[in-house]
Amino acid sequence: MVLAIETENLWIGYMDEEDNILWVVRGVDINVKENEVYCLVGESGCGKSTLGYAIVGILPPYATTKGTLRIMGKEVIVGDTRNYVETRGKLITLIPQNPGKALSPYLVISDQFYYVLNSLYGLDRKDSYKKARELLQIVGLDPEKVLDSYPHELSGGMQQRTAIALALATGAKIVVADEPTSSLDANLRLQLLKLLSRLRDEMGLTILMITHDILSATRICDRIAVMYAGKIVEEAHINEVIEKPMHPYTKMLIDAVPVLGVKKRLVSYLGEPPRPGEYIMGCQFNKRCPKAMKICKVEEPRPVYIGSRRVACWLYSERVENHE
Amino acid sequence: MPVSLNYLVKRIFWSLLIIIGVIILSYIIIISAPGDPARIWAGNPRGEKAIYAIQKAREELGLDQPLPIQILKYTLQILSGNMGISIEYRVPVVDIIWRGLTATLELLVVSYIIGVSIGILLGVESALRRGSRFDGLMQSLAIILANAPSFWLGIGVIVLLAETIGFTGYGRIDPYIMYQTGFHPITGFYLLDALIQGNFAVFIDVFLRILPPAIVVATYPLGLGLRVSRALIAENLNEDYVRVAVAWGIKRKIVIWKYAFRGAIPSLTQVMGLAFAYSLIDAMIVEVVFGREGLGSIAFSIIGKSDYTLITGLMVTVTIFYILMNTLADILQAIIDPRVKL
Repeated sequence: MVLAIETENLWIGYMDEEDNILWVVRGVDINVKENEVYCLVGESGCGKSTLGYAIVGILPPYATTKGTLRIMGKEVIVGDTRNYVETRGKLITLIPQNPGKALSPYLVISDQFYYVLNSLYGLDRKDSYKKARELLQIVGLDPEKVLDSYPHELSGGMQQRTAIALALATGAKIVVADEPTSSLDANLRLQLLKLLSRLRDEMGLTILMITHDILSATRICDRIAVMYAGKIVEEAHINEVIEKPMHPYTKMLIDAVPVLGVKKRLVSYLGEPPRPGEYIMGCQFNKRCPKAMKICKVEEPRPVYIGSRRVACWLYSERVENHE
Repeated sequence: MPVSLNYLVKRIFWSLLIIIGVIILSYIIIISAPGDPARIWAGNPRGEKAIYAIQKAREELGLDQPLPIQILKYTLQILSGNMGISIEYRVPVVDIIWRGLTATLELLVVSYIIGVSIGILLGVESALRRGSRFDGLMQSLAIILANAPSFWLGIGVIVLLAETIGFTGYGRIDPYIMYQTGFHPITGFYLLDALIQGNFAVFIDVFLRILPPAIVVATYPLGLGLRVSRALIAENLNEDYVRVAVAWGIKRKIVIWKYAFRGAIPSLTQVMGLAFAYSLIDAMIVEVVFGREGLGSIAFSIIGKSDYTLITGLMVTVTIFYILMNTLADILQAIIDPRVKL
């Protein structure tokens, strides 16, 4: 079976003014199956958005890469060469973070549909209008109200739905949703998640959701990958993660959010994730980790596979016993 | 229409106040400058009775009255649309200024078409190739072009052309060709008039003569357009909506022009509109260097001659031009940017 998104030891970094490379994503291996909803969770600055940009093909020119990225079996990143021809829009599309900023403020919605549909399929204005109508109905908007409006004339929720309709207009089956819920209020958030999971079922989408909101993730995801300081520290099915987080960082994320119906004390750990380029020795989490051991300060843990789960923590590594 | 009546009324009111201020100030400055308009009006009389002739001229011009009354009368006169008669040339100021204004505007418009189009094209290319050697070169070029003094550049161009091809584009039109082909100005914009009359000999002559000064005047809008469009587009390329458009697979050309450049147009119009008014001064200086008729040449010829009606008329004209360009830039911005309402 062809994997929708597959990365092999993918590194992504940005060049600063002195041509030093600050690695933001450091050796990530993920594989997203078709028709799966896969979540990338982590604090801001952990590299999840950068990974998302690399997948949809909007890394800035000063970015550098190592490793491999394949989309539907097609090699998109190999080493430092990136080739997104026939990938952007055709195979993979983006649901943007802030729909208010992601729609061009100078174009009416129908024009924005026209440019997408014309670029990808050569549709003329009339056909693109028809297609736009269908798509807006699918996401639950009244096309008559939306098509001739400018984005600023729509409400936040409508903008978000319009952005989703535009993302779907590309016809790509793999969707990267970059923090789609973070700019919406609570009830819109739930609506959006329902919409996404409906679209997944109806249109057979594969969704890679990037979020810092682990609660949103639980509502829709099949599998979840927790990122910290550019690495994936834990990957598992969503239920397993919620019920029994293995990595102390995952546990911290879950402990920090309230769950309805469960009475618990909210805990937050002190400290900040390391900034790109300022990585510390050993496990990147060792300064904040309540279970830090001696080895954590010396060597970065390698991922350990336990059943279908993967975790990069010395707590689960056999080598620890030998070491201590 | 994104422009409200309220805005227009307010704008006109403030413009009127500014114009009145300019009339009063320029009148006071010119009248208190050395030189006597009455003497010139009387025709520089000599001899024993000259003093009576000058006194008579002074009464005719109303210069014998107290200054506040002079100012009041003069202001009301100009506001009623009558700019008076030139002391030096003895023809209505409006006629002189109109003739000069069309000549200067013709030069200005041609320069602007050259400067803005080349400036923006280079600016966009520069923004797309941020950090490259081309970009660095363009940045330096922009600074040099936007800041080179135009009268100096004008002299340089004349020397260069004279040394190489022996044609400097001096003057506005070759009177010989004009006389031979029976060319009559209609609108005062010679390029337009030549086209209307189908007179290609004149058109080519006028065009060749306008080109060197136009290139000199164009340096400022070119440099400015390059810098501003590069900055705006480089900024817009980082905007979410441009990056998302790329991610959705929209063609590169459309992303650049319909998204990134489209987003730069409102601010670009604003800046270039203001610079248009600034370039008027440039055009007025350069046309003197190139011996063309125009507002600058008029100002140059009468500045020491106590021709207070013509000088004030010129100042009011330039002021109105500035205000008009500012207002136009605002209105254009409101039309272009759907989020702006005036």
